[in-house]
Amino acid sequence: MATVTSLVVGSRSKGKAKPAVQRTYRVGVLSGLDFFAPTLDGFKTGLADLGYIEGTNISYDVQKTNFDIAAYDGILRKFVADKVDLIFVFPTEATQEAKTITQGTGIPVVFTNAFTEDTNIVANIREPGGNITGVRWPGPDLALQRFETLHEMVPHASRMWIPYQKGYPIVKSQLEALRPAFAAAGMTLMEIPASNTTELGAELQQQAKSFNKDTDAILLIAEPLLTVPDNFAVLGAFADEHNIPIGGTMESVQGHETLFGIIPQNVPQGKQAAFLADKIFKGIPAGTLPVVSAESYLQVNYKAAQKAGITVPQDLLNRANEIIR
Amino acid sequence: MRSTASYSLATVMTAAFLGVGLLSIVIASGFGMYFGSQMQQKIIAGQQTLIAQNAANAVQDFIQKKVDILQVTAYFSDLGNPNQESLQLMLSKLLGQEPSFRRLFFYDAQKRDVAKVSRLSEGAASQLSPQTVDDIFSSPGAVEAYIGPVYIDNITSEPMVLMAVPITDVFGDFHGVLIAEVNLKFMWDLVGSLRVGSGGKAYVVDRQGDLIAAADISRVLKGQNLKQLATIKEFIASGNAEPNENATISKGIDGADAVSHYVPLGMPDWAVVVELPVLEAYDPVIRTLELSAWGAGAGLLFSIAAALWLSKRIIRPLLKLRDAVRHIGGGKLDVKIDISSVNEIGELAEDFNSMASRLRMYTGELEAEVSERTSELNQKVSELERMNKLMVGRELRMVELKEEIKRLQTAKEV
Repeated sequence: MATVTSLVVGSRSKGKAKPAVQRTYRVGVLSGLDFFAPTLDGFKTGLADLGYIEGTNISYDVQKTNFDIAAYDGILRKFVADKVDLIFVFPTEATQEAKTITQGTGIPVVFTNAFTEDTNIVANIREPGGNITGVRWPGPDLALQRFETLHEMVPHASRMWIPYQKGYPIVKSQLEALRPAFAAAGMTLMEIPASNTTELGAELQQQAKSFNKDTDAILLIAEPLLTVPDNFAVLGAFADEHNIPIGGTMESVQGHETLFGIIPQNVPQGKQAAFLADKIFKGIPAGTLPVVSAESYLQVNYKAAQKAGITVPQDLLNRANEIIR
Repeated sequence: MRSTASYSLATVMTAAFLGVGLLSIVIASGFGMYFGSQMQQKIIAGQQTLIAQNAANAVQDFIQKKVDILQVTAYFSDLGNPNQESLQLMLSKLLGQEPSFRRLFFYDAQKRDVAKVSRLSEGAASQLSPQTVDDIFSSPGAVEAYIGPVYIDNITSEPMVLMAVPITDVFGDFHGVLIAEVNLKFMWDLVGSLRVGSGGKAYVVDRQGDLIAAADISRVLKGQNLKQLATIKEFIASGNAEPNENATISKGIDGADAVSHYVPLGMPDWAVVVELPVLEAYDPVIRTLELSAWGAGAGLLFSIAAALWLSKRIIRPLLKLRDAVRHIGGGKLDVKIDISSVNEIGELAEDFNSMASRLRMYTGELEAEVSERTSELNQKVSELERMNKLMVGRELRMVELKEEIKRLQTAKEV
């Protein structure tokens, strides 16, 4: 009874409290790679589901670049100058830049499509530290899964070529994970680092004589070089010309296609990030919110495999989240 | 010497009436509030149980569906006479169909790892430890289904659990177990979508108090243990699968007071806990008590008004009587009290009026007799005065004569 009475008194006194003022949150969005652009749709949808309606209680300053790393700095500094309530950023480099630029400003950062291994983005995924949290890619394990899947689809391949963006930070951890796996499988790993379309084309031409359709395959890992359509067109044309299968990410440019893709989907990642942003808006420091892991998604391009004369193992088809026929 | 406070009868009567009225209101309201709130608390506990049970059913459904999938697979697949290829295909199909399965294993009756598939790379998808396999094979639950303890994945911090079903042939002979590693993060959406009032929460804990699923997944990823909460403590201590009968007020997962209730799932050994902010849970009680308080307040005002009116009604004739007595005491006998009450006070007033009337009559008669006597007395006095004057004249003549005699005597002597 005494508890209930105190509740009555408590409820009256609380009832006199002033209603919370509805504020409008301003979010700076750095969409740093077109390949991941749909992540923003997931982010907005997720926040809308949580009650953040654009134009009513949230506004977005969306700045897009397609892997123009030099532009990241200016965009992020503008967000800091504008004192936005939160920065939503992807991919890895943009996140690293955001972490550096927002240091000491108190502006929280939520990232997606970023590696947390060897990138110094977070202290650890349970307690990221600083003022940053987000949705991580499954990391080097994704590269291993791609390797295993390509090996399953093209079992005769004894050598795999891995093209990647020269100097890109997350490549190192993937290659380090892949080397023992290649060794264990008795296979050879060949690297094709390049900075742009021209370099990639030149590198491929230089190695052209080394390629063998009976023993080689091209493995795409998580890196930005081949997410640029022009670059993939160069690689795809070369692979088709030499009958070399490509697998790792799902791409189709100018009729050149990969066999499969294992990649976390953008929209679900955006929704996962929205949940973290909501927590931050509610006052929880970003650095205390654990990093969430994205789920990988297996797409098998059955049509491309058939065209290339490759028999897709039933086991792989069974496991696929999506089969393109 | 004892001092006694002096209060007017009106004050005493008003206080008495008020006291009796207040006492009645307090007793009546107190009983009403007590029994009303008791009843409401029972209703709230019932509602909480219902909500918790629904939440528990939803979670149990999630788990049961996974077990069902494994059991159906075990039943319809020819696992009793497997070959490596068909096993592998069956497991991969199962993995593709159920996103929450992260790894699948088939162990034969000799505890040998015959086939496995994984969403992870081969390096990350390590074998089950011999201890784990032994636990599964020796578990009494392996007769139908086994659900192991929850563990946290080192890389993702996500909670995982192993589920296993036995493989038997048509004769019931045991051929091994089908094991699935289930990622419980696929339960988070389900738990997150559970609605508990407008500000309530639902979450799932295991018998150690570790948080397995909650709308706030960051708590799960942090590996939060909630055994310090009274409700969770009760669940851990109970050791059985009975829900707690009463919804208790205690600190909730957010540290605020909440009405909490848990329903154990039995299999697995988890509990679904629902919490409702205490103010929201007790809103009907609060409203009832507020109404009772308003009623008691109105009763109090009515009591004051009634006490004043009643005391005035009783005291007013007494005051008239008092004034009339004072008038008569002052010698004014023409006083008449105007009281029309048909009760003891009215009779007293009537008797008083008749007494005053008789007093007036006696006084009139007395005054007439006094007047008559006075008149007679005055007459006697007049007579006496005349006699006196006569006597005084003679006396004066005697004095004059004595003085003449005296003067004559004096003259003779000379």
